[in-house]
Amino acid sequence: MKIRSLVWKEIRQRPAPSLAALLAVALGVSALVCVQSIADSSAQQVARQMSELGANILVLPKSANLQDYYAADLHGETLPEEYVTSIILAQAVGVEEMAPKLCLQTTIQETPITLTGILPRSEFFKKSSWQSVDLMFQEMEAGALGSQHENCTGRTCQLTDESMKDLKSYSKTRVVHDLAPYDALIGADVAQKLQLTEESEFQLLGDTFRVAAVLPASGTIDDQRVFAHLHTVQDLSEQGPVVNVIEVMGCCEDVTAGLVSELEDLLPEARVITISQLVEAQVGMNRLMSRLSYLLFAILMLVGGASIASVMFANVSERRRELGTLMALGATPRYLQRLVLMKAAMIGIGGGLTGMIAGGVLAIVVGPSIVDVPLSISIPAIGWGLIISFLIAMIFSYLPARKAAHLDPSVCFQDV
Amino acid sequence: MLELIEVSKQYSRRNQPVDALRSTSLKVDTGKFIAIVGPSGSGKTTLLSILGGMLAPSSGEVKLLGESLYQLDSSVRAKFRNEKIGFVFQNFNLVPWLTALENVQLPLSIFGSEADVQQSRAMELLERFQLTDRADHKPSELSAGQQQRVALARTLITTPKLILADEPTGNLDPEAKQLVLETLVNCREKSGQTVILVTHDHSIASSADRVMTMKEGILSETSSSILSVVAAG
Ligand SMILES: Nc1ncnc2c1ncn2[C@@H]1O[C@H](COP(=O)(O)OP(=O)(O)OP(=O)(O)O)[C@@H](O)[C@H]1O
Ligand SMILES: [Mg+2]
Repeated sequence: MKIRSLVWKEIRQRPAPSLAALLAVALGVSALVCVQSIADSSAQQVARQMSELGANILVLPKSANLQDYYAADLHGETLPEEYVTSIILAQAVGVEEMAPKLCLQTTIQETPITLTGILPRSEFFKKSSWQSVDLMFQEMEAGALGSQHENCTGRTCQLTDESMKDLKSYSKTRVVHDLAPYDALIGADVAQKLQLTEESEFQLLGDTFRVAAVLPASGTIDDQRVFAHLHTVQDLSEQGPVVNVIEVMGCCEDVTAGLVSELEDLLPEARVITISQLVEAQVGMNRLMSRLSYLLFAILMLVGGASIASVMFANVSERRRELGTLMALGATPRYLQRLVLMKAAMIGIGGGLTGMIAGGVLAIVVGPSIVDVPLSISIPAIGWGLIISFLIAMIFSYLPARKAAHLDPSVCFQDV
Repeated sequence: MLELIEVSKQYSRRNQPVDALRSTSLKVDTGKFIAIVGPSGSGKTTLLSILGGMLAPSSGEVKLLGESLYQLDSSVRAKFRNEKIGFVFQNFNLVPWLTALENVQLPLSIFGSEADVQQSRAMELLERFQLTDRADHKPSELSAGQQQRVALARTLITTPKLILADEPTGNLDPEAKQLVLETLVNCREKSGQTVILVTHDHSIASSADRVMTMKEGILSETSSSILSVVAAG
């Protein structure tokens, strides 16, 4: 019989105290693995958003309170649609495109959807009531919406008329060239739930819409949206010519700072923020979450360690006669020390593994409701969790192991 | 084979010294069966612990098989105990969460001899004590007599040169008592092992080559004629 199986048999005989100590360790590791995995995945999401939307600016109502970019139009507050025209007229440096949006929460055949009104590029220049402006618009219709940015490192003129005409690429370009009043672009989830395909028709708030395109799945709330013409949505929502947000796409990062102050001056009633400001809150949140998880891990590991120590002390006292007998049979003090350390190691490693699995499962179950990205489990958190739970078990069982090694072997003759 | 030179042991209990063993000298030859009798608290267990290398005396020297026991390093002494000394206890001291077979193997397991050797040796001994069908039973599933037989098998698995038994029959019925006594007598007669046995039972003591009496930490020779009278009475 190996010392390992000797320890294992003893644990199996009376598993409750060992399990209690194991649980405390498992809690610490699972907290670490779960929170770190969520924070990591969220950080990856933020990084992806930053690279995709780096130069974008959101113009929002002052009172709007928002959490992330993809839900920037879901706050219910509104701005006048005229702001779009004001921004074009200002001819700000580096403005490439604009995407005003208005949202309406509704249902199609009892499936909840977000009806989102978007303004096709071709409409930007029709809305004006002033003749003089019309002339100016005609010149601009082909290129960027603002004035040219010198030495631009960005994506100037990347959005060709062609790409804007391909409705399917809307989720990437966020701009369409034309959209008929009762045409709709539908998100992947909506299409799947309602079994809609291109060209099929559906009823929405009493009107019949035609599916102009089914958008590819993006993993964001856009998958639950139905995009239709802004003016149609304005009519359906009976709110008049308003929008929830105007997204301004800059040509490159260099223009953002200037654009923000220019837009702030132009639209004092609105709140102008950059995507990086928006995700900064998320980054800060991630950092806080990650730090809190270390703190929680440290506290729970100390609790786990203390509980290992108390379980092992009690165990050594209870088994005094048995350990004495092992010494009578020839066990060295070192052997008894190893017996105790081995047991603690099993509890520590068992707790680490349990915590790793529980934390991983928890992250996968709870994670998606916190960050809407495919969740990946944090490997470093698992590594650290396992190493530290082993070390904690060793450190906190050092004294009980020493006690076992210094046991007076003649206790084996006593009736304890 | 075994020699005690001026050995004494003093415990301290709440700073009060307790003389458990007073300047005791003793010489035991190989293959002898010694019985030690004496009232409770007279120091018999203390003496056995010292003889077994489990309790360092306050003064004096213990020589076993030419080695000065307490001058050995504690791990060397443990190995020495494992190979040369076997203990039999009043309460059997079986490990409760191991089966009979595993308990018997234990002294071999501690020093990691090969698993199949351990197992076949242990099975042989269980067979000798008619416990083959109890090999997979835990001690709690065995009678007192069976437990003491398992304990005897565990003691004998290393074929120790010296067997130290502390009231091995104290908790047994007459039949089981007889079997333990026969086994110990056999050890001496067939294998030339030295046996030192502590007992309250004078009928057991009468099987010994030599009976000694312990009283208030002092060990003295008892003439066997007195004993036989006591046993008969
Ligand atoms: N660990 C100890 N600490 C203090 N005193 C002890 C200790 N062990 C034994 N003693 C004392 O030493 C004396 C001898 O004890 P010992 O156990 O050797 O007696 P014993 O002859 O074996 O008694 P019994 O027949 O009841 O088993 C007793 O007075 C006992 O109280
Ligand atoms: Mg005693």
